[in-house]
Order: sequence, then structure tokens, then C-alpha cells
Amino acid sequence: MIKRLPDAEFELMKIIWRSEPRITTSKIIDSLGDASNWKPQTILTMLTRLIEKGFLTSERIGRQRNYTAIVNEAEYMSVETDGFMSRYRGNSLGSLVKAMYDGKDMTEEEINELRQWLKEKE
Amino acid sequence: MSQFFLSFLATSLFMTIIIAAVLIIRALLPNVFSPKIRYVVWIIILLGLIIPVRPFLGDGLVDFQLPFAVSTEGQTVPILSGTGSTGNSGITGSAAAGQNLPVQEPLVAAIPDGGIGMVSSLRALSVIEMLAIAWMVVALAVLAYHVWKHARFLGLVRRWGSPVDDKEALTILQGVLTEKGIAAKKIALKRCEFVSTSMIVGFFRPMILLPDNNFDADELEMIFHHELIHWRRGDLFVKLLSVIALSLNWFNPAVYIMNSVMQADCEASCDQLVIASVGNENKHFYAETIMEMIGYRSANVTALSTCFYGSRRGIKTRMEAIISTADNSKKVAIVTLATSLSTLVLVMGLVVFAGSVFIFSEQGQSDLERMTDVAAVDDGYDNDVYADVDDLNFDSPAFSFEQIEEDDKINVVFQLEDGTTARAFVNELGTISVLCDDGTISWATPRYPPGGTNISSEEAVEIAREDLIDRNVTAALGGLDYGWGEGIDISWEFEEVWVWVLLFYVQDESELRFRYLICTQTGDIIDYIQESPPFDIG
Repeated sequence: MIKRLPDAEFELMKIIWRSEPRITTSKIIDSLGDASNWKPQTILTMLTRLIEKGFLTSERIGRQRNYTAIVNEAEYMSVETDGFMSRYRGNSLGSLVKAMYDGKDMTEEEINELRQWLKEKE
Repeated sequence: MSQFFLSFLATSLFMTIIIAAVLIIRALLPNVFSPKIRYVVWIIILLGLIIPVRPFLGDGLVDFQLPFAVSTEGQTVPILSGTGSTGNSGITGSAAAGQNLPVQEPLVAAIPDGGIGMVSSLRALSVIEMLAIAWMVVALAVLAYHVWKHARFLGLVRRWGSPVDDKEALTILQGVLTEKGIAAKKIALKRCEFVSTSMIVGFFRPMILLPDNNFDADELEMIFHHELIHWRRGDLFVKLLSVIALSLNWFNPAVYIMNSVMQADCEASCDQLVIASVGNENKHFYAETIMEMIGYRSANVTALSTCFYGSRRGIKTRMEAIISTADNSKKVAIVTLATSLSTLVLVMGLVVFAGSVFIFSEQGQSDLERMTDVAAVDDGYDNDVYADVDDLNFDSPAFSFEQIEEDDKINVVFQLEDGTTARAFVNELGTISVLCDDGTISWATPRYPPGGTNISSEEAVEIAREDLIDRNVTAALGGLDYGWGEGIDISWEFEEVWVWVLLFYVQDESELRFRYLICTQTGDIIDYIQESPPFDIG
């Protein structure tokens, strides 16, 4: 069961997802750059928590600890957006957005059929 | 709140009729009205759904009288419930105590007796109130759900959306903004994996979201035109109104149907404006760009296939409208301008004024007028005289009352123990009726003899004074009232006699009171009682 991550942990995961596997602690801190003013200790605590939550594994290579994501970005996104992935087409009743197409999804076959029909109209 | 709820229901019902009429006309005459006109018609109706008040015109043609239909069970209460010595043990306990004169402290005494009627009418009222509360709770819940969903969506966008930093895309966006005359407007552009269509979101800090497709420059231009037209027209605010209308009218299926048709008309009118901006020669390309937005669904999902058929028909209708957009739209526009304007005026008239004719005979009538009518129906007389606080010696703790002026007439409003209110009226014969706010008669008591009086109140006072002088008592007149002598524990043959009830106080430490009952016809002293403290009545 994957749980929703708090913002800070999510930021860390984003860095890990978007880098090569086995990223070192110092690289993570570097990637965060000046954007965050977290202390290294805070970052280590968050990484430990992410391991506990089953998002990461870590192994010690020499003097460096390396982190690898177990849950990949797409997997996590589909959990976090759950129904939204299929629901958020702008057709959900009364949603406060204006979508360009607010109808339902279609199968590839149906879309091709529509394209064909549109071509004939030209 | 019940009153508001009932008038809201009436409005919702009436708007449903208008919605049905518009849907039928739209289906029968699909090409007569431009999408823009249809969209504006829907917006007017939307406002009509949200705002339940209408100007009040005349007396209305159809009288709904809704509140009374709901509470008929609690309607009648015997006239004159307050004067029997057996019937009013509540406050005028003095009768039982041998001071056989319950008479007219009467209004106080009468109220507990009217309790039967009052209780059932309160029960009837609470049914409406319960419904009103249920309606409100669900409406708030629906609204909260929409807000929560929107907040959640924005949260997802914040996390997962990545700002588009592609120079070309931003240049195109700026170009379209300039073309639309809103070059200075800051519009954020984000790419989101989890949306399948481009969209615009944000009421004050708008943001265009793009799905994770690789749109080329021409497609982006179409998209930006489309979304910025939505933004500039304020379609997001219209959608906010839709959400509010849907929340309030959660029980009304017509409003759900209307919402989806309205969104279709909104898109269709937006499409027309896009084509007007990008040129008629680009309409096919524009249609193809929209096709890019249709999300893919895996073929093995078979549920609700009719829905998909419906949506396919929807998109086909939209495409057909786009590619059949006429080049010579100006000529057509002049032809339809008069029709369109008159349609709008008609709909607006229907929504605003017909509503008042139909519904607001009940709404527009002041509470006072409405209740006067009820009082009249009940006792058969015009209740054009209103009770005055001074008439009503109310001192029961069950009531607080205030005297308010409405329509230049004095109107006494009682606050009952449970927080509901009641009003007192006096009809031309002097019968006082107390009505609960839902129109049920709580109790009524006659105040004046039906045949008038031979002896005036001054004469009655004079008769009593002479009698007091005979008894060597000096007392000041403390109260004067009419009363109806039925049931008084006195040894007369006849069942009822109208009396003046006079109360005199001795102004010394003895605090003696003298009560006279003087027949209004003959001037006879029907009864004389000397009372001494403590008095049972407050």
C-alpha cells in the first residue's frame, strides 16, 4: 500500500526519480541546491523515512550511502492521482476548469473512425 | 428558513419548466439560434436558478399558498378557548381556588389551551424545517465536494505539472495574448501528464495546462486561442455559477441535464470565436487539434457503451458545427440579430417576471397579508384590524412579544418558547386570532360581542364606580376588557352573556382588587369579586 507523500519527501523523490539509480546522499543535497534550506540531517531523516515507507532502498558502497527508488514515478503518480487520471477530463460535473475537449475517452478504433469521418468532410 | 426553502423549491420547479421548454426548442430548431445565444440563454436560466427572489408584480395569477398546504393537519383550534373555568386551569388557577372568575386575564389563560392546535401546527412546521435543513446540508456537502475536488486537482497540478520553458511555445502564447488585446496578462503554462486535454484553470491567476503530447506550433496556436477565449469571456466564472446552481439544485435532474447541454453550447460558441480568430481556412485543422485531446480508452472496457456512443455523437456534432461554419457569417448574423435579441428578452422575461406571476403571489405577499387572509378564512371576517400590544396583556413567560409596524399597521409578533413566531390579529368583530408563522391558527378568541354593545365601556366603568362607592371602596381603574361569559361558574340560566370585565385596584398596602363583570347589553353587574394577594396570575 503506497501512501501519499508529504511535499518535502515528494521533492526528494522527484530528484531521485530524475537521476541515475544509486544516487548518493551528497548528490541529492547538491541537486536540491539552494532551493531548499534543509539541513543535511533533515534530509537524512527524510531519506530514512522514505526507506521505511518502502519508496527507497539504500546500500553502502564504500563510504557513501546510495539510494535507489523502488516505486517509480509513473507508479506513484497513478496512485496519487488514482481516479483523477481517468476522471480529470474536464467532463467531471461542475469542475472548475474549461477543457478543450470535455467528452469521454474513446478507443483507438473509435478515434480512427472519427478521423476518417473528418477527412471525408474536407 | 422554511419560507426561503419553499420559495426556492417553487423557483426550482418553475425554472425546470423553462429548462424543458428551452431544451425542446433547441432540439426542434437546432440551427435557428447561434451557440452564443443559446449559451447566454443558459446563463440567464442559471442566474434564475441561483437567485430565488423575483420582483413582486401585482397579486400573481396563480396562488401557490404552499406553506398552508403542508400544514393543514394542525389547522383548527376552537374559538375562545380561554374562558371556561374547567378549561383554563393553566394559568388562571384562581377559578379552581374558589375565586370563580377566570374570565379575561383571558389571553394569558387562553394560550395553554390553544396548545393542542399549536403543538400540531408546530409539528407540521418542523417537517418543512427538517426538509429545509436536509436540503441545506446536502447542498453544502455537494458544494464542499466540488471545492475539495478542485483543491485536490490544483494540488496535483502543483506537484506534477512542470512549467513549460520552451521558448517557442511561450512566444506563441504571447502572440495570441497580444492578438486578444490582453498582452499584459500573465498566463502560466504548464504541462501535466495526468490530463488528456488542454484546459484553463484559475479564476484570477489563470494557468493553461497542456497534456503530455508533442504539439507543434500551429496546434499550440489553436489551443491558446481556444483557452484564452474561455478566459476572456469569463467562462470559468460561469462554471462557478454552474457549480453553485448544481449544489443548490442537487435534487433536480433538469439542472444536471441543463449543465451538460450548456457546456456543449459554451464550447460550440467558443469554437466559433476561435474560427473567427484563426480564419475560416483553418477550421479543419482546428477540428483535428481538438481530436488530439480525446483521451485513449482501452478497448476492453465495455461498460456503459451507450455513453460512449453518446459522447461520440457529441463530438461529431461539434465537429460538424466547426467545419460547417459559414464564411459569410455576417449576413446570417444580421438576419438572426432581431430573433436573437427578442429570444433573450423573452427568456429573461420568463425567468424574471413569469416567475413572479406564478410563484411569488405567495412570496411577494407580506407575511402579514398572508396571515390576515388565513385569519379571514378561519373566522369569515376581514381581519383588517391588528392587535395592539396593549390589547393583549400578555405576561406569560411562554411568550415574548414585540410590536412591529408593517404596512402602516401594528402587528404583534410573539416569540414562542420553541423559537417559532406567531402573530396576533383582530378582526372587525374584535376576535383576536393568533397565528403561527406557517399560517395555522394557534388560537382565537372573540373580543367584542357580535351584536355590538348597548352599554359603552365608559358607562360600564361608571356603573362599577357607583357600586364601589356603595361599598365604600376607593379604587383606581386598572383594566378594562371584553369578555364572554360562557362557562363562568355563576348561577344563571343562560349559557352565555357578554360582559365588560373591569379590574380595579385599591392603591394601598392591602393590594385588593375588585373585578366587575357588567353585561354589555343590560348594564347589570353580573358578578363582583374581591380578590386579595397573592394572585395566581402574574
